[in-house]
Amino acid sequence: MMPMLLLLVSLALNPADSIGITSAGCDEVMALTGCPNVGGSIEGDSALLNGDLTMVGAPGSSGGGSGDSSPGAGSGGSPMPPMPCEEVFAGLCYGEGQDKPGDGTASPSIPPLTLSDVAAFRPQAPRQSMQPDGWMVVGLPTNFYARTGTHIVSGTLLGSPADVRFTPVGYRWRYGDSSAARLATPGATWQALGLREFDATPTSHVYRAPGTYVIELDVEFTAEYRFAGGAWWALSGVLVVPANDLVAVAGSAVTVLVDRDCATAPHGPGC
Amino acid sequence: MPRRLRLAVAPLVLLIATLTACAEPTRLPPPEEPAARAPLFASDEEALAAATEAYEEYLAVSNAITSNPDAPLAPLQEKTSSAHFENLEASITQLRAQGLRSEGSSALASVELQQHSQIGDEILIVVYVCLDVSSTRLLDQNGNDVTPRDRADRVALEVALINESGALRDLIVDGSETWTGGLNCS
Repeated sequence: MMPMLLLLVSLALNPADSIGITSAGCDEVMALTGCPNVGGSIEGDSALLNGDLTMVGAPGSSGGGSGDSSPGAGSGGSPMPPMPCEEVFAGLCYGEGQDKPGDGTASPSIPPLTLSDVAAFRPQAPRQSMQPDGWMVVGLPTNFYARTGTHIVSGTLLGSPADVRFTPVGYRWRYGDSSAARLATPGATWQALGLREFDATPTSHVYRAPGTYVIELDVEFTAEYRFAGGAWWALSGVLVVPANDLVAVAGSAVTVLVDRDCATAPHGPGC
Repeated sequence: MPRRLRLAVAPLVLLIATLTACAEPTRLPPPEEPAARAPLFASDEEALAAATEAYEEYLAVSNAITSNPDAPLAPLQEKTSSAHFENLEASITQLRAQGLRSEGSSALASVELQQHSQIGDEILIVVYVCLDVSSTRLLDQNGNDVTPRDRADRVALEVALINESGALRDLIVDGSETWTGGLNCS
Protein backbone atom coordinates (compact mmCIF):
# COMPACT_ATOMS: atom_id res chain seq x y z
CA MET A 1 0.00 0.00 0.00
CA MET A 2 2.70 2.44 1.00
CA PRO A 3 4.85 2.06 -2.16
CA MET A 4 1.78 2.65 -4.31
CA LEU A 5 0.95 5.77 -2.35
CA LEU A 6 4.49 7.10 -2.78
CA LEU A 7 4.30 6.47 -6.52
CA LEU A 8 1.09 8.42 -6.80
CA VAL A 9 2.63 11.31 -4.93
CA SER A 10 5.64 11.28 -7.16
CA LEU A 11 3.52 11.39 -10.29
CA ALA A 12 1.37 14.13 -8.92
CA LEU A 13 4.38 16.34 -8.32
CA ASN A 14 5.26 16.45 -12.00
CA PRO A 15 2.16 18.01 -13.48
CA ALA A 16 3.95 19.85 -16.23
CA ASP A 17 4.93 16.61 -17.92
CA SER A 18 1.47 16.16 -19.26
CA ILE A 19 -0.08 19.59 -19.55
CA GLY A 20 0.47 22.71 -21.52
CA ILE A 21 0.56 23.81 -25.09
CA THR A 22 3.97 25.26 -25.63
CA SER A 23 6.62 26.75 -23.47
CA ALA A 24 9.90 28.45 -23.10
CA GLY A 25 11.91 28.27 -19.95
CA CYS A 26 11.33 31.43 -18.00
CA ASP A 27 10.96 32.51 -14.44
CA GLU A 28 10.32 35.69 -12.48
CA VAL A 29 13.95 36.78 -12.77
CA MET A 30 14.28 36.14 -16.49
CA ALA A 31 11.02 38.04 -17.07
CA LEU A 32 12.89 41.21 -16.08
CA THR A 33 15.18 40.96 -19.08
CA GLY A 34 12.53 39.40 -21.29
CA CYS A 35 11.60 35.75 -21.53
CA PRO A 36 13.27 33.76 -24.27
CA ASN A 37 10.87 32.66 -26.95
CA VAL A 38 11.65 29.03 -27.53
CA GLY A 39 9.88 26.63 -29.83
CA GLY A 40 10.63 23.57 -31.84
CA SER A 41 9.68 21.51 -34.83
CA ILE A 42 10.50 18.23 -36.44
CA GLU A 43 12.27 18.42 -39.79
CA GLY A 44 13.04 15.06 -41.38
CA ASP A 45 15.33 13.13 -39.05
CA SER A 46 16.05 16.05 -36.69
CA ALA A 47 14.29 17.93 -33.96
CA LEU A 48 15.00 21.63 -34.40
CA LEU A 49 14.76 23.96 -31.45
CA ASN A 50 14.80 27.67 -32.06
CA GLY A 51 14.86 30.56 -29.67
CA ASP A 52 14.91 34.32 -29.61
CA LEU A 53 16.07 36.33 -26.69
CA THR A 54 16.30 40.08 -26.40
CA MET A 55 19.55 40.78 -24.65
CA VAL A 56 20.44 43.72 -22.53
CA GLY A 57 23.56 45.37 -23.84
CA ALA A 58 26.16 46.79 -21.51
CA PRO A 59 28.78 48.38 -23.71
CA GLY A 60 32.25 48.47 -22.31
CA SER A 61 31.30 46.51 -19.23
CA SER A 62 32.98 43.28 -18.43
CA GLY A 63 29.67 41.73 -17.63
CA GLY A 64 28.70 41.50 -21.26
CA GLY A 65 30.49 38.33 -22.17
CA SER A 66 30.86 35.24 -20.09
CA GLY A 67 34.27 34.53 -21.57
CA ASP A 68 33.23 31.64 -23.74
CA SER A 69 31.31 33.41 -26.45
CA SER A 70 31.84 31.81 -29.80
CA PRO A 71 34.13 33.55 -32.26
CA GLY A 72 32.38 36.02 -34.45
CA ALA A 73 29.52 36.62 -32.05
CA GLY A 74 30.64 40.19 -31.71
CA SER A 75 32.88 42.49 -33.65
CA GLY A 76 34.81 45.65 -32.94
CA GLY A 77 33.34 47.69 -30.18
CA SER A 78 29.81 46.37 -30.49
CA PRO A 79 28.23 44.75 -27.47
CA MET A 80 28.89 41.09 -27.02
CA PRO A 81 25.92 38.87 -26.44
CA PRO A 82 26.05 37.84 -22.83
CA MET A 83 25.45 34.22 -23.69
CA PRO A 84 27.42 32.12 -26.15
CA CYS A 85 25.87 31.27 -29.45
CA GLU A 86 26.52 27.59 -29.85
CA GLU A 87 24.90 24.54 -31.42
CA VAL A 88 25.46 25.95 -34.66
CA PHE A 89 23.81 26.03 -37.91
CA ALA A 90 26.02 28.36 -39.84
CA GLY A 91 24.13 31.45 -40.76
CA LEU A 92 21.31 30.75 -38.37
CA CYS A 93 23.16 31.42 -35.16
CA TYR A 94 23.74 35.09 -34.81
CA GLY A 95 23.27 38.12 -32.69
CA GLU A 96 21.65 41.00 -34.38
CA GLY A 97 21.43 44.57 -33.23
CA GLN A 98 18.04 46.07 -33.78
CA ASP A 99 17.47 49.72 -34.41
CA LYS A 100 13.96 50.44 -33.41
CA PRO A 101 12.51 53.91 -33.11
CA GLY A 102 13.34 55.11 -29.65
CA ASP A 103 10.52 55.70 -27.24
CA GLY A 104 12.62 57.70 -24.87
CA THR A 105 12.49 55.16 -22.09
CA ALA A 106 15.84 53.55 -22.75
CA SER A 107 19.24 54.98 -23.26
CA PRO A 108 19.71 55.56 -27.00
CA SER A 109 23.31 54.42 -26.81
CA ILE A 110 22.30 50.91 -25.82
CA PRO A 111 20.25 49.23 -28.50
CA PRO A 112 18.57 45.99 -27.53
CA LEU A 113 20.26 42.96 -28.96
CA THR A 114 18.16 40.09 -30.19
CA LEU A 115 19.93 36.79 -30.09
CA SER A 116 18.55 34.03 -32.25
CA ASP A 117 19.69 30.49 -32.03
CA VAL A 118 18.81 27.20 -33.65
CA ALA A 119 19.90 23.83 -32.42
CA ALA A 120 19.43 20.54 -34.23
CA PHE A 121 19.07 17.33 -32.25
CA ARG A 122 19.26 13.96 -33.93
CA PRO A 123 18.35 10.68 -32.29
CA GLN A 124 20.89 7.91 -32.10
CA ALA A 125 20.62 5.73 -35.19
CA PRO A 126 18.64 2.55 -34.58
CA ARG A 127 20.11 -0.83 -35.55
CA GLN A 128 18.35 -3.86 -36.90
CA SER A 129 19.34 -7.51 -36.86
CA MET A 130 17.87 -10.76 -38.10
CA GLN A 131 17.70 -14.42 -37.21
CA PRO A 132 19.12 -16.43 -38.84
CA ASP A 133 21.91 -13.94 -39.43
CA GLY A 134 22.21 -13.20 -43.14
CA TRP A 135 20.04 -15.95 -44.53
CA MET A 136 16.52 -17.25 -44.44
CA VAL A 137 14.58 -20.34 -45.34
CA VAL A 138 11.83 -19.95 -47.90
CA GLY A 139 8.50 -20.67 -46.29
CA LEU A 140 9.76 -20.32 -42.70
CA PRO A 141 9.61 -17.20 -40.51
CA THR A 142 12.70 -15.00 -40.42
CA ASN A 143 12.92 -12.99 -37.21
CA PHE A 144 13.79 -9.30 -37.61
CA TYR A 145 14.29 -7.06 -34.60
CA ALA A 146 15.40 -3.49 -33.91
CA ARG A 147 17.65 -2.18 -31.18
CA THR A 148 16.76 1.29 -30.02
CA GLY A 149 15.01 2.91 -27.10
CA THR A 150 13.99 6.14 -25.44
CA HIS A 151 16.99 8.40 -25.04
CA ILE A 152 17.87 12.01 -24.35
CA VAL A 153 20.16 14.11 -26.55
CA SER A 154 21.54 17.20 -24.84
CA GLY A 155 22.84 20.47 -26.22
CA THR A 156 22.55 24.18 -25.66
CA LEU A 157 20.24 26.86 -26.97
CA LEU A 158 20.78 30.54 -26.29
CA GLY A 159 23.56 29.50 -23.93
CA SER A 160 21.22 27.46 -21.72
CA PRO A 161 20.93 23.70 -21.58
CA ALA A 162 18.38 22.18 -23.92
CA ASP A 163 17.45 18.52 -24.16
CA VAL A 164 15.41 16.50 -26.58
CA ARG A 165 13.95 13.16 -25.55
CA PHE A 166 13.32 10.72 -28.38
CA THR A 167 10.91 7.81 -27.99
CA PRO A 168 10.61 5.12 -30.68
CA VAL A 169 6.97 4.53 -31.50
CA GLY A 170 6.88 2.78 -34.87
CA TYR A 171 8.98 0.42 -36.96
CA ARG A 172 8.57 0.42 -40.73
CA TRP A 173 10.13 -2.62 -42.29
CA ARG A 174 10.55 -3.05 -46.03
CA TYR A 175 11.47 -6.66 -46.63
CA GLY A 176 12.84 -6.32 -50.15
CA ASP A 177 10.25 -8.66 -51.61
CA SER A 178 7.76 -5.85 -52.30
CA SER A 179 6.15 -6.30 -48.93
CA ALA A 180 6.34 -4.00 -45.95
CA ALA A 181 4.98 -3.69 -42.45
CA ARG A 182 4.56 -0.91 -39.93
CA LEU A 183 4.81 -2.40 -36.47
CA ALA A 184 4.55 -0.94 -33.00
CA THR A 185 7.10 -3.28 -31.47
CA PRO A 186 10.85 -3.51 -32.09
CA GLY A 187 10.76 -7.27 -31.70
CA ALA A 188 13.37 -9.38 -29.95
CA THR A 189 15.47 -12.46 -30.45
CA TRP A 190 13.88 -15.88 -30.41
CA GLN A 191 15.80 -16.57 -27.23
CA ALA A 192 14.53 -13.45 -25.50
CA LEU A 193 10.98 -14.29 -26.53
CA GLY A 194 11.35 -17.84 -25.24
CA LEU A 195 10.64 -19.30 -28.66
CA ARG A 196 12.27 -21.95 -30.79
CA GLU A 197 14.21 -21.07 -33.91
CA PHE A 198 12.01 -20.44 -36.96
CA ASP A 199 8.98 -19.78 -34.80
CA ALA A 200 6.82 -16.87 -35.89
CA THR A 201 7.30 -13.66 -33.88
CA PRO A 202 5.45 -10.33 -33.89
CA THR A 203 8.20 -9.02 -36.18
CA SER A 204 8.96 -12.07 -38.31
CA HIS A 205 8.47 -12.31 -42.05
CA VAL A 206 8.14 -15.27 -44.39
CA TYR A 207 9.82 -15.15 -47.79
CA ARG A 208 8.12 -17.03 -50.59
CA ALA A 209 10.89 -17.20 -53.19
CA PRO A 210 14.63 -17.77 -53.16
CA GLY A 211 16.85 -14.79 -53.85
CA THR A 212 18.90 -12.00 -52.33
CA TYR A 213 16.95 -9.41 -50.42
CA VAL A 214 17.79 -6.03 -48.93
CA ILE A 215 15.83 -5.36 -45.76
CA GLU A 216 15.35 -1.72 -44.78
CA LEU A 217 14.03 -0.35 -41.50
CA ASP A 218 12.88 3.14 -40.63
CA VAL A 219 12.14 3.89 -37.00
CA GLU A 220 9.63 6.56 -36.09
CA PHE A 221 10.42 8.65 -33.03
CA THR A 222 8.33 11.15 -31.15
CA ALA A 223 10.27 14.00 -29.58
CA GLU A 224 9.89 16.19 -26.53
CA TYR A 225 12.12 19.05 -25.49
CA ARG A 226 12.94 21.00 -22.41
CA PHE A 227 14.79 24.26 -22.10
CA ALA A 228 16.86 25.46 -19.17
CA GLY A 229 15.84 22.54 -17.00
CA GLY A 230 12.13 23.23 -17.37
CA ALA A 231 9.29 20.87 -18.06
CA TRP A 232 9.09 18.56 -21.07
CA TRP A 233 7.04 19.71 -24.04
CA ALA A 234 6.04 17.56 -26.96
CA LEU A 235 6.87 18.44 -30.54
CA SER A 236 4.18 17.58 -33.03
CA GLY A 237 4.90 14.98 -35.65
CA VAL A 238 7.36 12.10 -35.80
CA LEU A 239 10.94 11.79 -36.95
CA VAL A 240 11.74 9.00 -39.35
CA VAL A 241 15.25 7.65 -38.88
CA PRO A 242 16.70 4.91 -41.07
CA ALA A 243 18.48 1.96 -39.52
CA ASN A 244 21.22 -0.09 -41.16
CA ASP A 245 20.24 -2.17 -44.20
CA LEU A 246 20.45 -5.94 -44.04
CA VAL A 247 21.33 -8.08 -47.05
CA ALA A 248 20.31 -11.70 -46.83
CA VAL A 249 19.91 -14.73 -49.04
CA ALA A 250 16.78 -16.85 -49.04
CA GLY A 251 17.11 -20.46 -50.06
CA SER A 252 14.77 -23.38 -50.13
CA ALA A 253 15.11 -25.74 -47.23
CA VAL A 254 16.93 -28.43 -49.17
CA THR A 255 19.77 -26.15 -50.17
CA VAL A 256 20.34 -24.47 -46.84
CA LEU A 257 23.54 -25.14 -45.01
CA VAL A 258 22.85 -26.26 -41.49
CA ASP A 259 24.88 -25.75 -38.40
CA ARG A 260 24.85 -29.37 -37.33
CA ASP A 261 23.98 -32.78 -38.74
CA CYS A 262 20.20 -32.98 -38.86
CA ALA A 263 20.32 -36.70 -38.20
CA THR A 264 22.08 -36.23 -34.88
CA ALA A 265 20.59 -32.81 -34.05
CA PRO A 266 17.12 -32.83 -35.60
CA HIS A 267 16.18 -29.58 -33.84
CA GLY A 268 19.13 -27.63 -35.23
CA PRO A 269 18.53 -24.58 -37.46
CA GLY A 270 17.09 -25.57 -40.78
CA CYS A 271 16.50 -29.22 -39.92
CA MET B 1 -1.73 -34.51 31.02
CA PRO B 2 -1.97 -31.16 32.88
CA ARG B 3 1.79 -30.99 32.92
CA ARG B 4 1.92 -31.63 29.17
CA LEU B 5 -0.73 -29.00 28.63
CA ARG B 6 1.27 -26.46 30.60
CA LEU B 7 4.29 -27.30 28.52
CA ALA B 8 2.32 -26.80 25.33
CA VAL B 9 0.70 -23.59 26.48
CA ALA B 10 3.83 -21.91 27.73
CA PRO B 11 5.41 -21.33 24.27
CA LEU B 12 2.02 -20.26 22.95
CA VAL B 13 1.75 -17.58 25.60
CA LEU B 14 5.28 -16.50 24.82
CA LEU B 15 4.44 -16.35 21.11
CA ILE B 16 1.34 -14.25 21.68
CA ALA B 17 3.28 -11.94 23.96
CA THR B 18 5.98 -11.58 21.31
CA LEU B 19 3.47 -10.93 18.57
CA THR B 20 1.71 -8.37 20.67
CA ALA B 21 4.99 -6.66 21.37
CA CYS B 22 5.87 -6.66 17.66
CA ALA B 23 2.48 -5.39 16.68
CA GLU B 24 2.64 -2.49 19.07
CA PRO B 25 4.49 0.08 16.88
CA THR B 26 2.57 -0.75 13.71
CA ARG B 27 -0.94 -0.97 15.04
CA LEU B 28 -3.66 0.32 12.78
CA PRO B 29 -4.67 3.93 13.16
CA PRO B 30 -7.75 4.51 15.26
CA PRO B 31 -10.94 4.99 13.26
CA GLU B 32 -11.04 8.71 13.92
CA GLU B 33 -7.67 9.25 12.18
CA PRO B 34 -9.11 9.81 8.65
CA ALA B 35 -11.28 12.61 9.92
CA ALA B 36 -8.15 14.40 11.13
CA ARG B 37 -6.71 14.09 7.59
CA ALA B 38 -9.59 15.86 5.96
CA PRO B 39 -8.60 17.86 2.88
CA LEU B 40 -6.66 20.90 3.90
CA PHE B 41 -8.47 23.03 1.38
CA ALA B 42 -12.20 22.60 1.47
CA SER B 43 -12.70 24.44 -1.79
CA ASP B 44 -10.92 25.66 -4.90
CA GLU B 45 -11.16 29.18 -3.52
CA GLU B 46 -9.26 28.24 -0.37
CA ALA B 47 -6.52 26.52 -2.36
CA LEU B 48 -6.23 29.51 -4.69
CA ALA B 49 -6.06 31.92 -1.76
CA ALA B 50 -3.27 29.91 -0.10
CA ALA B 51 -1.33 29.66 -3.36
CA THR B 52 -1.73 33.38 -4.04
CA GLU B 53 -0.49 34.30 -0.60
CA ALA B 54 2.54 32.01 -0.90
CA TYR B 55 3.35 33.26 -4.39
CA GLU B 56 3.15 36.91 -3.37
CA GLU B 57 5.58 36.26 -0.53
CA TYR B 58 7.91 34.50 -2.95
CA LEU B 59 7.62 37.34 -5.45
CA ALA B 60 8.44 39.93 -2.77
CA VAL B 61 11.62 38.03 -1.92
CA SER B 62 12.49 37.71 -5.61
CA ASN B 63 12.00 41.47 -6.10
CA ALA B 64 14.22 42.23 -3.13
CA ILE B 65 16.98 40.01 -4.49
CA THR B 66 16.96 41.25 -8.07
CA SER B 67 16.99 44.88 -6.92
CA ASN B 68 20.05 44.45 -4.75
CA PRO B 69 23.10 42.72 -6.27
CA ASP B 70 24.45 42.02 -2.79
CA ALA B 71 21.29 40.52 -1.33
CA PRO B 72 21.75 36.97 -0.07
CA LEU B 73 19.74 34.24 -1.72
CA ALA B 74 18.85 32.35 1.45
CA PRO B 75 15.41 33.99 1.83
CA LEU B 76 14.54 32.77 -1.67
CA GLN B 77 15.75 29.30 -0.83
CA GLU B 78 13.23 29.20 2.00
CA LYS B 79 10.40 29.92 -0.41
CA THR B 80 11.33 27.40 -3.09
CA SER B 81 11.99 23.71 -3.60
CA SER B 82 15.62 22.80 -4.15
CA ALA B 83 15.06 22.06 -7.86
CA HIS B 84 13.39 25.39 -8.53
CA PHE B 85 15.92 27.25 -6.44
CA GLU B 86 18.71 25.89 -8.65
CA ASN B 87 17.02 27.34 -11.72
CA LEU B 88 16.42 30.68 -10.04
CA GLU B 89 19.96 30.81 -8.73
CA ALA B 90 21.24 30.37 -12.29
CA SER B 91 18.99 33.18 -13.53
CA ILE B 92 20.07 35.50 -10.73
CA THR B 93 23.74 34.69 -11.23
CA GLN B 94 23.40 35.51 -14.91
CA LEU B 95 21.61 38.78 -14.16
CA ARG B 96 24.28 39.79 -11.66
CA ALA B 97 27.12 38.71 -13.96
CA GLN B 98 25.84 41.27 -16.44
CA GLY B 99 25.95 43.92 -13.74
CA LEU B 100 22.18 44.30 -13.82
CA ARG B 101 19.65 44.99 -11.13
CA SER B 102 15.98 45.78 -11.11
CA GLU B 103 14.21 48.88 -9.91
CA GLY B 104 10.55 48.72 -9.00
CA SER B 105 8.62 45.56 -8.37
CA SER B 106 7.12 42.79 -10.44
CA ALA B 107 3.50 42.38 -9.47
CA LEU B 108 0.87 39.71 -9.60
CA ALA B 109 -1.69 40.97 -12.14
CA SER B 110 -3.99 37.97 -11.88
CA VAL B 111 -3.95 34.36 -10.84
CA GLU B 112 -6.11 31.37 -11.83
CA LEU B 113 -6.28 27.94 -10.31
CA GLN B 114 -5.39 25.08 -12.60
CA GLN B 115 -5.54 22.21 -10.13
CA HIS B 116 -5.01 21.26 -6.53
CA SER B 117 -4.62 17.91 -4.92
CA GLN B 118 -3.69 16.34 -1.64
CA ILE B 119 -2.38 12.83 -1.31
CA GLY B 120 -1.68 12.03 2.30
CA ASP B 121 0.34 14.97 3.55
CA GLU B 122 1.52 15.99 0.08
CA ILE B 123 -0.13 19.05 -1.36
CA LEU B 124 0.16 20.25 -4.92
CA ILE B 125 -1.40 23.41 -6.26
CA VAL B 126 -0.84 24.58 -9.82
CA VAL B 127 -1.87 28.09 -10.76
CA TYR B 128 -1.61 30.27 -13.82
CA VAL B 129 0.01 33.54 -12.91
CA CYS B 130 -0.06 36.72 -14.92
CA LEU B 131 3.09 38.53 -13.89
CA ASP B 132 3.31 42.26 -14.55
CA VAL B 133 6.85 43.58 -14.93
CA SER B 134 5.86 46.91 -16.49
CA SER B 135 6.78 48.93 -13.42
CA THR B 136 10.27 47.49 -13.24
CA ARG B 137 13.31 48.95 -14.94
CA LEU B 138 16.62 47.25 -15.52
CA LEU B 139 19.64 49.25 -14.48
CA ASP B 140 23.27 48.58 -15.29
CA GLN B 141 26.21 49.14 -12.99
CA ASN B 142 26.26 52.88 -13.80
CA GLY B 143 22.57 53.27 -13.13
CA ASN B 144 21.67 53.53 -16.82
CA ASP B 145 18.24 52.25 -17.76
CA VAL B 146 18.91 49.29 -20.04
CA THR B 147 15.40 47.84 -20.03
CA PRO B 148 14.84 46.13 -23.39
CA ARG B 149 12.40 48.23 -25.36
CA ASP B 150 10.47 45.25 -26.65
CA ARG B 151 10.32 43.41 -23.36
CA ALA B 152 6.86 42.00 -22.67
CA ASP B 153 5.09 43.93 -19.93
CA ARG B 154 3.25 40.84 -18.82
CA VAL B 155 4.28 37.22 -18.74
CA ALA B 156 1.96 34.25 -18.24
CA LEU B 157 3.49 31.62 -16.03
CA GLU B 158 2.37 28.23 -14.88
CA VAL B 159 3.45 27.93 -11.27
CA ALA B 160 3.47 24.78 -9.15
CA LEU B 161 3.40 25.06 -5.38
CA ILE B 162 3.94 22.23 -2.93
CA ASN B 163 4.16 22.02 0.82
CA GLU B 164 7.38 21.52 2.67
CA SER B 165 7.63 18.09 4.19
CA GLY B 166 6.21 18.10 7.66
CA ALA B 167 4.72 21.55 7.29
CA LEU B 168 1.25 21.16 5.97
CA ARG B 169 0.45 24.80 5.51
CA ASP B 170 3.79 26.22 4.33
CA LEU B 171 3.61 26.29 0.55
CA ILE B 172 6.78 26.75 -1.47
CA VAL B 173 7.23 27.30 -5.20
CA ASP B 174 8.28 24.15 -7.01
CA GLY B 175 8.51 25.51 -10.53
CA SER B 176 7.45 28.25 -12.89
CA GLU B 177 7.27 28.02 -16.65
CA THR B 178 6.05 30.23 -19.41
CA TRP B 179 2.46 29.41 -20.21
CA THR B 180 0.95 30.21 -23.57
CA GLY B 181 -2.17 28.17 -23.13
CA GLY B 182 -4.70 30.93 -23.40
CA LEU B 183 -4.49 32.73 -20.07
CA ASN B 184 -5.76 36.28 -20.37
CA CYS B 185 -2.52 38.10 -19.67
CA SER B 186 -1.69 40.94 -21.99
